[in-house]
Amino acid sequence: MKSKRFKFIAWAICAVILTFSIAGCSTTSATQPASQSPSAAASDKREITDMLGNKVKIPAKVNKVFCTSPIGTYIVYTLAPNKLLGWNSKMSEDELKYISPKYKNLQVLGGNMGGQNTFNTEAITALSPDIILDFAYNGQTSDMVTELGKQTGIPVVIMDGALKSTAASYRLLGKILGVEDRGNMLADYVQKSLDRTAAMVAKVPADEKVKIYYAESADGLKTDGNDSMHTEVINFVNATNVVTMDTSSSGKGASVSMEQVLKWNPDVILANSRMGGSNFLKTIYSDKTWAGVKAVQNKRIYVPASLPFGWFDRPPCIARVMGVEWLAAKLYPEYVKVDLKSDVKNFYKTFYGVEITDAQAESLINS
Amino acid sequence: MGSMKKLESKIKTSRQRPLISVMAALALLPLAAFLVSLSFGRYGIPLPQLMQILFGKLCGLTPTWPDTLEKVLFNVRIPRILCAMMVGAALAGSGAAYQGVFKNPMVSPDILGASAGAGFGAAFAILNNYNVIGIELTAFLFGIAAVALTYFLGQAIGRNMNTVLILVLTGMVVQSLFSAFTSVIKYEADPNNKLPEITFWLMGGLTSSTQKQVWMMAFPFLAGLVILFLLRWKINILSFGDEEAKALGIDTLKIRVILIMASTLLTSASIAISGMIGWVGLIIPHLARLIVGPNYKVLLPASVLMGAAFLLLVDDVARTVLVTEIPLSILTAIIGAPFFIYLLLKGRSSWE
Repeated sequence: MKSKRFKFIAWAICAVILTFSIAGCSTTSATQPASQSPSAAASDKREITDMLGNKVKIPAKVNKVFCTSPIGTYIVYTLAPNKLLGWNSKMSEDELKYISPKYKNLQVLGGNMGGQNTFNTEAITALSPDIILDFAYNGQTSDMVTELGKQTGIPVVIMDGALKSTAASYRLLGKILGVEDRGNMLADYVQKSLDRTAAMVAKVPADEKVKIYYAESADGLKTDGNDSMHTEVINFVNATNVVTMDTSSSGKGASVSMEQVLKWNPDVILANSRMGGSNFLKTIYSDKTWAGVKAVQNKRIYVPASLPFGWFDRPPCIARVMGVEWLAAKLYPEYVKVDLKSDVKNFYKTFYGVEITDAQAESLINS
Repeated sequence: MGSMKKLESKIKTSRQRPLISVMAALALLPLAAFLVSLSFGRYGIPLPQLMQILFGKLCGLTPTWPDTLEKVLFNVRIPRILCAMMVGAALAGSGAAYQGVFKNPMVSPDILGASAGAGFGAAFAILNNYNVIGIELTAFLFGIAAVALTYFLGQAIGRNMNTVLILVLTGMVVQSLFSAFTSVIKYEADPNNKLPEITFWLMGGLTSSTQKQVWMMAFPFLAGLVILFLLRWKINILSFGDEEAKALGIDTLKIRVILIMASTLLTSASIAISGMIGWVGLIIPHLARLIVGPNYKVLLPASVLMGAAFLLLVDDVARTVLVTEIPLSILTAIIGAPFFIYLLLKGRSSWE
């Protein structure tokens, strides 16, 4: 009786394994022919120098890119979306509203984010990307990404994630992806936009510099310091991040006490609407304690747009180019005179290829 | 009842009289810590002004002091001090009770899965966009649910066996099960949105203590503590073994269940407002045992008092030393781990 049951279980296990392996074969065989041919044709190699100074041999023609984080994915999306193998995480309904229909259903491949790996090495290998694109901040890269390159033999190209390197990133990526014209066009746009804002905020006298506190999370007491990749925009627009402390650039942030926030007494609070921030925003104006902060008394709480990509942070990506202009205009209306609405529409058309309405532009500006 | 008296007198040591003064000193400890902590904080309040505000408030004087100072004191600092004391007392008290109930000095409140369950509850609530109160409530309920699951599984499995061992084993299973559920949620969570929020919550800390948190904690805290306090002498009997206790006509099972429930209530309520803070429930009862001896009649109150003072002082360090907060669990581990090794070494020499 007992052995009969075991026999049945053994057979059942065999059957399950068999079904899965057949299913596994069928998915790989379905993608293989489509993916193998172009890269096989482009067997010539060329050598490039990535932004960390590494010499990398890459295929002459790069058609398929796997980006290890949304920072890379979003820049490639604006540059050559047809070369993108997939997103790093599932897009929300709100985000998808701003994505061209063609790329809404791109597969989700995972990535290396917040110190956590969610991609599957075999799945990435099966897609045979021509290059793996990674972004570093202050030259820091993840070992897991380097390891992925070693394991698969796919060249890893590392870019610099700093805000001021955005234009340079577009130029280099344009060359790598074979879309130099578009790369240069977007790089010029970025440079012009950043330079214009920089020139305007440079006129702000030192005693009018605004003190900003960046509130993340539901209690508003998680933040990032002024050396972090998450707060670069604040430094760029000639404002002061009250958190002058060295917080980690790994994306984990730091928490501060309410007393410390009251002591800083920031002029402006930038609130991230994600990461529980929407709860913070609901209660901030009715909270007795936060009422003691100057920014709350003067109703100067600004929420950077996050659709489809974050204008300020999470992730710190190319949308920050728009965020710089927006924040500068919010902080220093006297010095920064720009037509935000038309600039936003122009930015979305140029970078994302979507036409947005006046109402949409306004809701992005005043979200 | 007569044999009970004998048992109690057996426990009573000859150092009965100094014990009273020791207990009096311990009772003053949290009070002193409270007063000292009042003057600590990132927002500097000069001592004379602090006194002025306190006395002014007590006597109902019209405020002559800046409004912000009053807000800092009453909306920020005092709630945080009270939360730290309640959490410390709850963790140490429930830790002491657990150690007695399981007759095992290595047991701490999370052994039955309370922390893992609460962690999962919070992650689940965050993923579903609950507000702060909702997150804390869900954490609390799942903490209790995890312990209930452990308990009933233990009952179902260990009918005629060593129930304590079975309970600890099922506790480990439930714990890893809930940790796995939490990982699933973290894996599913959006890395630019929900994932950092969950990570923040699991990191713990008393940063977001407000008056609301104080009131939320107060009820389960008092309820749990009163139950433990009333039953504290029965923990002594449990530690003699079930046979002896049964001979005295004590329903050990019932007592155990009530004690576990009360301790879980305390632990889950603490985790709900402060996240997971390790080591307090383990080392404070040991420290208390070193000072007042093994009699639960004094050991339990001693643990509660010392726990309150300990966590309050550690939290003072966490909130004042740096501009950014130092995670509490890091501090308790740095203090707790070496102390525990010391206890183990001391224990070994006494066994030899």
